[in-house]
Amino acid sequence: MQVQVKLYGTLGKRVPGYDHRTGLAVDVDEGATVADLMRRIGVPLKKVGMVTLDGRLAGKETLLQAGMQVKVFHPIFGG
Amino acid sequence: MKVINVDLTTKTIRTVNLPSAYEGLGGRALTSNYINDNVPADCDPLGPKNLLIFAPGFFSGTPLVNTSRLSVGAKSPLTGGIKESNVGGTVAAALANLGISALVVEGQASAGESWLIKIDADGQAELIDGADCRGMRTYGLVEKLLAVYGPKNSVTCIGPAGENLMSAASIQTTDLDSHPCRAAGRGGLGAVMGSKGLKALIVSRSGKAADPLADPDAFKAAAKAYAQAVKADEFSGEILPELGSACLVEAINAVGAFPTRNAREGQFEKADQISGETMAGIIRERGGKTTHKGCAQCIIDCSNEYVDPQGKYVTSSLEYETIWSMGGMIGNGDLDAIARLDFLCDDIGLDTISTGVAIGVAMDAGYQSFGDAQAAIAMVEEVAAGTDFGKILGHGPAAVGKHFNHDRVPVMKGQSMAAYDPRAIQGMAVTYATSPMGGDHTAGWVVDQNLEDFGGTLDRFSAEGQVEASRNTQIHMAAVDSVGICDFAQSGLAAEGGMENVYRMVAAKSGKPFGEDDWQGLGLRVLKAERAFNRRAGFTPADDHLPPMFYEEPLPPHNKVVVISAEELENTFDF
Repeated sequence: MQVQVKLYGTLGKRVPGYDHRTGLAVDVDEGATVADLMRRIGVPLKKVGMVTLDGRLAGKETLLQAGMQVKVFHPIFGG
Repeated sequence: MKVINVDLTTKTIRTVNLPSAYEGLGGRALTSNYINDNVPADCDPLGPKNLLIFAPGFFSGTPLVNTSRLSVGAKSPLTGGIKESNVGGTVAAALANLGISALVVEGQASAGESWLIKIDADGQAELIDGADCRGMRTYGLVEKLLAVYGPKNSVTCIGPAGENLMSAASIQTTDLDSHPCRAAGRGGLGAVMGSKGLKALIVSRSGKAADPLADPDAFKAAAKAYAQAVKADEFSGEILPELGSACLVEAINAVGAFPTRNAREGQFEKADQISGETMAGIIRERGGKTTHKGCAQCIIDCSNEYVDPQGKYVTSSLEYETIWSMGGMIGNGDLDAIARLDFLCDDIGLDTISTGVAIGVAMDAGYQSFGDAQAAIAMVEEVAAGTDFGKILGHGPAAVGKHFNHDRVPVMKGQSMAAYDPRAIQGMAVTYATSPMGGDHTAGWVVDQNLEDFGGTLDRFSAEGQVEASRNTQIHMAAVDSVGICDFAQSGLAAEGGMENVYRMVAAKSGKPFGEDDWQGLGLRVLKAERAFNRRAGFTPADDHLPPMFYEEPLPPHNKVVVISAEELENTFDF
């Protein structure tokens, strides 16, 4: 199955050829988790602050579904 | 360690040593304690009995990076309570390098007068008739003043909004490029400055008389380790330089906490058009600057210079809060229009947060349509022109709500919330409701505890742990604002051994032992002074609540309301 992935902050630099306008279409196995996806695209989990799947916050072990929009964010700090 | 008192009633200047009661205090600790001790809490904030105090942080003027932070204090015309508004730029370092712990402006010039305070390279202050500056906008004013007094000065000033005593008026101060684009925005302190008849403060940046360090070697060793931690941190060392605080747009929008169309929704469908990633791309394409040094002694460079399609300067620095208030909050997905609104607010001297939210409330009440950026620009221009509507808008969201008899007004103690909806991040409800400042995000930013590490160490929709998180962060931030460390350089505090480094530096400057208990004590001393002032000014526990909209209207897409009870909010602080 395939999911659509967008990487935010400076995470895109970790994936060669990443274009933020189009994002990535990534093939994953049935039953793949968020952590599996991060391994597949080469983004270390410790560099990730949060992930949303179709606009909902996900955990590392949350299961992916075909066609999901995945947004991957860096840790944030602010004000 | 001197204090310069300028009395605009008598046009006299007195320089004294910092009173012993305030020894060891800087920034917010100094402004809030001074205001609490010396301003009658029931006074007219725009009258002669209010004081306006400018104080650099305790670390300003030291070798520590990211410490050109200025606290501006007074009784606020927006909230009716005490106010500390914090700003970067160059002025804090300039004052501290002249050995000036505080500048206190008292009294009131006669109506129609306009004055300048100039402090030279020897730290001598003089009052100069500024009649020819009256009515000027800030960019033109700074250009004029630096042409007369030389480029090696920092200018801190007000625009027409401050002169017209608007409650949302900011005090603007110059960055390293001498643009008046850094704002002590919150609380309407520009109106207090205007009420005194003070148009601008011109401070020499050539001072060489910073307070001595008791143990320079110990200080420098700790400062070096601190700077290394700031550089090594991914957020302050890599993401902020590239995207600035605008990196938060997509993240906060993704979790449904980005207040949209006057906080009717938590996600803005055009967020990708105004995101940090999009902004950085536009700036790069047009030849502007994404990585830009705005403040003295900064090693993060989170600032940017936004340019038009021809590469011409529009504004600096376009930041998360303004992108939200002039973007999502008013339904506007046009980043060029947001940049124009940011510039206009800086030039007229208006808080971008209060002004954007005020426009959002007006649009929500049916005055113009959400998403109409040109209408928003025209509305801001009306403040400068002093039209009837401009005089309402310039007083902020609560005044707009009152005018239209519209009760969807997201303010706490009269000051608008910032770019994190408390229904989607419950801890921010506690900070907005209980901060002595009114709705304020920097007073206790608990977003990370609610989102970090794949969803937060706290459940963001639950009350559990939120009061404690906000209380602890508010105490910590009161201390941070007092030592004068930039919010974004807190990565140096969060690093292993970071807090101990800070304690070491306080001790190495003052020559007195300083530890964790003293840090807590510093933060508590600030909050106690602020809450004491507010009580005398008439605030009651009911002022530590949120407006009904946050309890009654579920926020899409998660459809949650604030679940923290009034009793829990009232008991956040037991003093």
